[in-house]
Amino acid sequence: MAYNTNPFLERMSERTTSDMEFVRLFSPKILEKLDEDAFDGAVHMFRSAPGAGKTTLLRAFTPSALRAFWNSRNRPELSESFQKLLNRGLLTEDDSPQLLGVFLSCASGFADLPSSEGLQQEGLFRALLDCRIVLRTLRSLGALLGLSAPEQLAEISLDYATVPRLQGIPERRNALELATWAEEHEQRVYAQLDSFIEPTSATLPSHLRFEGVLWLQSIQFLYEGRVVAGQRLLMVDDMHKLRRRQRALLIDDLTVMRPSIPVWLAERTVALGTELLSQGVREGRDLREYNLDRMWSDPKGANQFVSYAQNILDRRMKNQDAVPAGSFTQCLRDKLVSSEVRSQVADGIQRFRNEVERHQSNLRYAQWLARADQYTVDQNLESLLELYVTRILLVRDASKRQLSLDLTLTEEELEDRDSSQLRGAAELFMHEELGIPYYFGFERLCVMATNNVEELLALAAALYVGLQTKQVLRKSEPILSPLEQDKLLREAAGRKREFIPKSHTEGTRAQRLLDSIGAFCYEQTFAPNAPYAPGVTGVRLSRSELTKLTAPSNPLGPNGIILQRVLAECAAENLLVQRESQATGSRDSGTVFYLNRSLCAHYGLPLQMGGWRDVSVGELMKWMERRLTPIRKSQEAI
Amino acid sequence: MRDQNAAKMLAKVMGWEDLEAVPQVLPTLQLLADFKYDHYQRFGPGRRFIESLALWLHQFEPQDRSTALRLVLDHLVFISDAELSHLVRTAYRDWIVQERMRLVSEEHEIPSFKVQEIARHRRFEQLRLTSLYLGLSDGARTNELRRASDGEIGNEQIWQAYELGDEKAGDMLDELAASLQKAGFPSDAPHFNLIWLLDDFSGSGNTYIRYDGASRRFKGKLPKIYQRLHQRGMVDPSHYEVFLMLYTATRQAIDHIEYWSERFTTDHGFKPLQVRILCPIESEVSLSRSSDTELQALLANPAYCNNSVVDKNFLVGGTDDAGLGFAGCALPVVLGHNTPNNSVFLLWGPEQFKPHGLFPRVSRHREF
Repeated sequence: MAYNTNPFLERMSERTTSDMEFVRLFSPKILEKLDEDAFDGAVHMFRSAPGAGKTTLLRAFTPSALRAFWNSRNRPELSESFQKLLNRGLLTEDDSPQLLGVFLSCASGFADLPSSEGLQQEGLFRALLDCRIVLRTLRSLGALLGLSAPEQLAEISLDYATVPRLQGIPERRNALELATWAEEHEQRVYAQLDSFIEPTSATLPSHLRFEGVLWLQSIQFLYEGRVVAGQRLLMVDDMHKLRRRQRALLIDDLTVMRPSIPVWLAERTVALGTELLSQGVREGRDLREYNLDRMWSDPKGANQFVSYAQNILDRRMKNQDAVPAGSFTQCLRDKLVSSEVRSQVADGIQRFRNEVERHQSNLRYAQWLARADQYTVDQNLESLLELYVTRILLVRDASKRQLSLDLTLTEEELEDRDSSQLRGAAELFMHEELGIPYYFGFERLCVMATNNVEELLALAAALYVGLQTKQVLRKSEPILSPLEQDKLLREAAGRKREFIPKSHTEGTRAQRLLDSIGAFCYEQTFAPNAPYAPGVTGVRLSRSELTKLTAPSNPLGPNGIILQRVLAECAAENLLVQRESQATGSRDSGTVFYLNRSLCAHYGLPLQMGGWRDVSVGELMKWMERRLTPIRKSQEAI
Repeated sequence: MRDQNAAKMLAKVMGWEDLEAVPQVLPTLQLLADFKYDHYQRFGPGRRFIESLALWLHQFEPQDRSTALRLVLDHLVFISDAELSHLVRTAYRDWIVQERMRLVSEEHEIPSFKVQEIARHRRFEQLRLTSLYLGLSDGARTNELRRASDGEIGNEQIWQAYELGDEKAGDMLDELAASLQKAGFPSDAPHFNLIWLLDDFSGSGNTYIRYDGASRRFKGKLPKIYQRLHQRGMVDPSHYEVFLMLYTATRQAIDHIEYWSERFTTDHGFKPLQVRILCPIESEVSLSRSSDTELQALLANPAYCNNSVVDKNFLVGGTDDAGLGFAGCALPVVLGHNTPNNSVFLLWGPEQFKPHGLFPRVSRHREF
């Protein structure tokens, strides 16, 4: 094979990858973040932006994947995964897997059903889902027991002793007969749908409740004289592909049913539509919600995501031979050496000299400038950073000073005013003005991924191309320098931004809005006195502004509705990250919309979250229709 | 050679230093190499495209290498063996059967959209039996065409060469008589009505037909075929049609063949030749049309050409400069099994010459 594929571009949730490949690349770290009660009998809703790992998580509990985990339990690279599944009680050392995970996707078929209102259509939807649950359960059971041919299902007998009386699902003696019924039942539904003649209610299969779940939680399977597959888990993926009514019906019916087995529903956040902007907590005893995007946002989450990311990338790194390396982190140099940026450092020092020229005669800054003079001698990065910090403090002081005694500022005073945020801003200013790398190192890569595995893989893929290229060019240093990482990551971020119009219903508007937010944040961040150090990366809508936006009376007109849609979709797609901000004595509560961290890199902003500015809905509507261009600097991309 | 090593060699030859150029060029080349170029049949055992490209580029002066690489990236038209096979497989249903339907439709005034009626017509079956298929070179792939017809072309209707001996011609006519008899079309003097002449590629059309001013005679394959078809009684002189079906051909060749064959058939009172091209290569493809001045300079540079390949066969094309290829076609075309000499010398120059081509050609004639 002459054409080397990039291992970071493969998507493991796709069914095209073999189970062995899947378990080898599956990172068990996600299991640590899975709530303890996720396997309790209830309806569990998993939501996230695309690429956060929902389907991958679900696939890990399918029988074929569990068997692959179990069969490879003695292989060192899979021992961690096996151990974690063991601790969860999902696998045992001695016996093959007993958890019957039934995976069902809503990606095809359900939305084909007629959309008209009425009990009959609801019944049809339930009927189709029921026969698919039955069919998928029996196929999964075959996979769990290691049956090689569908005919062998005849050897599994069914015990209905504990099954409540069902109207839609017949009591057949063995699994093969029931599977045949389910196949025929599904065909009947589609035959009716495809016919030109209006189907009569008598001929159409119709169920009054979701009996598939009732059947699955109570049926007993007997194989070779013993009860098998006692543990059950129903997983319904791609719920966002259902029609709105179907989705609501399924969630409501299942919640009311209070299932005794865990029922996992997975959907993209986009399914919430504009509800996302005014989402109240609906969690209760019978519906538990998990947001995979926010799973990593607690105080410990960032560190956990780094180790999760490292685990994922290292597993992929082992899957290639173009770059000889033990782990992905080894391939990224995280220390910038002054000699690499000598000319930029010299340029920066010269800039500093020019800018403080006007303060030379001012006694107030004599000590600060004397200290700075010492730094200008050492032409290295540390000195440059000190000079930039000094420069920002000078600007701050000069702009704040009222008529007062010109007392000389001491070095201690400078150190008191210094802070890590200020240093962060100084580092960013150096990047912006001098081109000194900023977006490099494994931790920053993880931050740029914005807690999303797919974004992490896309960024890693770009870096991997660089690594491959270094191999081809036979460079003395086969790993990526900070300069190279910075360039590759910013290019990848640029591609992400370019792709927005192609992947959204309101793509062009979304791109304009994000560009405008980026430009606005840039303006705020790069003010000479760095007022919001290290920088601004989000905008906030106060509660009153949000009320204007989401009011049913629609006071903002059609543009308000569009903005609501664009904001909701950006939030659902992880392009904007929502964080609630609490009310304080001086201000109302509200919602902060932080830019996706990769986009921050594209707009030249810092990666830390924290800095935001209040904006009005009117401004956002204007930005969405007419892109805001920064006054301070016309960004190339804008 | 391992792919990684070949890539390193290419990077060294091109003098790439930064991380920019490699990802822009290499993945595309590797993908195309894997998909097509590696399968060029004239590469030596174990030799593959990327290393061949590196060795080929190494012949140029460093400042010319990026232009030469651009020739490959932006202009090369490589018709792989699989693509040509695909054309052959579509030829029978999409072209040959359609012509028969057209004839039946015209003869019996059945609207062309009534395909069932036409296909059930006795004349349609009769025309199937009285079709003769002749290959004009070993690239005609007559075996593939016969298989693609699902048994509708009989063994005695198709022959891989256009020069039929008396014995072979007799056998074919006997077989034709038998199959007509069996199908209920008895005939004392059976003839073929539809003659399909098949070939894979034409760059200039000269080998099919040309006018020799000195001897005032038409030369090439087509005049010979017309003469023989009439001499041997293979066709009914009052009722036959001749089709030349080329799987690929340049616009220059199509125009040339159509013009000169019309002159020839009119002069001799033969039925006109009907040209059918499955995949025409339009004139824009020719490198002589390119506005890239650096590329034009590269092609015109005598250091990058070897006129030792010019022999009497090459001179038939009317030029004695090998740089732009036979008949000055200046094509960037490579076929999976061999590179036509209508392409530029830099693509087909044989391996034993300096410089050699990227896809070295094996000649039909012993040229050197």
